[in-house]
Amino acid sequence: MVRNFLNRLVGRKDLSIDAVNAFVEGKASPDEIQLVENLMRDNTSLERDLYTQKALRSLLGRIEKIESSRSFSVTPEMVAAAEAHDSLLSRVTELFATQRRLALAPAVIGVIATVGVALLTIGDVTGIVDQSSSIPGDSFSTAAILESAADGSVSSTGLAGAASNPANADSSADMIITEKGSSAAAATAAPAANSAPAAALAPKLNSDNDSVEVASVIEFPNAELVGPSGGSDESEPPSIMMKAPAIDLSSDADDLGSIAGSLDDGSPIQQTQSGSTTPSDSSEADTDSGILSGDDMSSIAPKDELPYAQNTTFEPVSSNNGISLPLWQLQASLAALAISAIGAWAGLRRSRGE
Amino acid sequence: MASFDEQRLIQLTRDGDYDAFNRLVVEYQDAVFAVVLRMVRNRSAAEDITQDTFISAFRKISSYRGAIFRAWLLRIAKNASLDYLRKIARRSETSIDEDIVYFSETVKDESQDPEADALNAELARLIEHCMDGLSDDHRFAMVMIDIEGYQYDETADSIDVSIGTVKSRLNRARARMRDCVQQDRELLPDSMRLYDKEN
Repeated sequence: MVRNFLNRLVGRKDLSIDAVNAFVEGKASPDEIQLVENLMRDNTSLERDLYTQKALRSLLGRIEKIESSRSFSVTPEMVAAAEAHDSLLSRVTELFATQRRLALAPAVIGVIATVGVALLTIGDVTGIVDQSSSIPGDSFSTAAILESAADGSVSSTGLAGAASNPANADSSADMIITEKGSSAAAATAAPAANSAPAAALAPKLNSDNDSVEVASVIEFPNAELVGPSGGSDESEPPSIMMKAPAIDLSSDADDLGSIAGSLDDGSPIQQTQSGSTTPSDSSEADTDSGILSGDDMSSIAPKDELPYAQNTTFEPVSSNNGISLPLWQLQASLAALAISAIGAWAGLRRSRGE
Repeated sequence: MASFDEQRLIQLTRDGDYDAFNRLVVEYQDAVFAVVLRMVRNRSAAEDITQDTFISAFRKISSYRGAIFRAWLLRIAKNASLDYLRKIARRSETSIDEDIVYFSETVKDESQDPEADALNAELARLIEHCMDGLSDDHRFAMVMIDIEGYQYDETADSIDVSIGTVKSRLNRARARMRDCVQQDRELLPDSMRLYDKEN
């Protein structure tokens, strides 16, 4: 294929480069001469090209030879001076000079790190690997970005921005169930929402075994902010992000006002596995006390008395079945490792004179 | 016998013998300097690069694996030349060095004819101009084989590529040179203009 491309480049058809070079240099074998002559019969421009190249080579051969004007003998002082100016990279190179295979080590590390980044990214996109969120705001993942980009919604890290951004305020409502460490995300979202024409509702739900916090951000003008009450538990269930599509907030203003009042009284929000949410009444609050465990998720039912809740469905972005890893930290670390290893390998090659 | 001596001198150099290495330097300094000068076209820079090449070769003699020694030296020289050209390319974006006196090729001619001398000087400038238009890889292949007369295997060792790659590069370099020199046909020898007239 490459040969064909080269032949096309110089306007020849199926002509061996070896034969052409040998012909131009006057070293062609009888077979090569025969091959070239056959082609020249078919293509008169080829004959001109080859004889021009022959003359050009003859001309280049007439160029004066160059002789060095001085001696380049090496003295111990020169070598000592060169070693004194040696860079750190050159010293590292010397370590690898005795064993050539060792010089490949950075390249191998770079390849492995690159493959690692690729696998993590693929796993993230396909949902096999989940971002484990141990610190506030570290639930960033490629999947979340893709999800947000596709839906125009925001992820948990974008709560504050979404709440304070009027452009996002009327696009959708997000409900986010995070683990313990992510309570700060909801907490930061709430004040931001308060300053914007929107309300952030983030009631705390506790249980004996599993504890999650629900931060429900509902963008709505003139709504009252009810922030999270914080909270802590021993268990740390994997984070779940649920997203609700846009709702007609103007028609549900009264209902939302009542929700805010209910939550002010400490009423929890109930959720369903299918993704509906609604504030519960005071009796349910007594029963569940805002507890939302993994098992409880399946028993939560939508409430008909809140019309907006019927339209509010949630899609889990990540699954509990995935492998939980500090994903973006790993990706960033491996990418940095790959870049530095490949750079080191290239530097080694250059300083070794390869 | 020369090959045996060379290997012995290399072995002595590995033991730290400067005299043995300097005998190798005397043997190959013209070859290294010529290639470097034709690559960088700056005589003082070529001298520095050539000196650095031999210093570097002495220090790295332990990594020499027994191939053609001259090719190994030329590989070091070629990499140093390319480093220099890259540095110059970066620097020329911000400053212009007017002090540099560029090397000029000369074309041999025994005719003793002043008119022929002038024509050859023009021809040499045309060749330089066309070689400047080649990529570094193509130029190196052409310098090594068509000007310095090295064999394909030694050139391949110098560039650390296969012989086939050298042939391909040389083929493309010749085709581009041919196209370039044809732009100034009046300077070309009769042997090259003959085919133009026919067409």
